[in-house]
Amino acid sequence: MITPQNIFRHELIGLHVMVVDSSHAGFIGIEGKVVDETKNTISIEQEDGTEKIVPKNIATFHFKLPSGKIVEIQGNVILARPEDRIKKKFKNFW
Amino acid sequence: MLKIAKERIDILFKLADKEFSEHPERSHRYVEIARNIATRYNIRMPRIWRRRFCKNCYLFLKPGYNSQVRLSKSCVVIRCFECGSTMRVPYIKEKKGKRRERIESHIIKKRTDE
Ligand SMILES: [Zn+2]
Repeated sequence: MITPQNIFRHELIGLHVMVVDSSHAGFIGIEGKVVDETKNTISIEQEDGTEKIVPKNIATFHFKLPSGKIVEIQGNVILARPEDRIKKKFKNFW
Repeated sequence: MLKIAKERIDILFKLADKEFSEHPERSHRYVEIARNIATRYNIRMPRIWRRRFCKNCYLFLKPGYNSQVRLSKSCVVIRCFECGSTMRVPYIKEKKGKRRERIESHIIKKRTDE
């Protein structure tokens, strides 16, 4: 189960996401489904079918969990490869 | 921690199955991520997903679309249309178990008749 406590270690692909804050104004407001994840970027499929690639370290995301809850995550916290995030320590965040 | 990894593999394969009809390249990418997780934390692939990717080119397989499943010589033969290789999964153990069961029930019947 994906909960707000373990979302940093869990799978982001397939979740609904919205970019709420960024140092580059063009990224703000992008909304849709996560379709791919690399070490530094997240690619988002919007509702009209276009794909956008957003860098993690300059943006803030709102993830919507399958249970309906919305979690805010700063991009620089999840700055790692998808398979490395399971064992990464998030000391400075908690 | 290992529980999370198992759940993530499950999620990724379900998504790959769902996305295959429209975006096959995405489902191949999801299999790659799932394999990375499994090799990293030394987890065996779950039994139901073990036959759903090619052991030679590691692409996602969907029977009827890019793979073929046949039975021959006590083996499940899965042929990948992307690279042309075949995997063989033996089911001789199940066959032998069935045979043994049949013989045992036969012997018990004989004894009860005597
Ligand atoms: Zn193959």
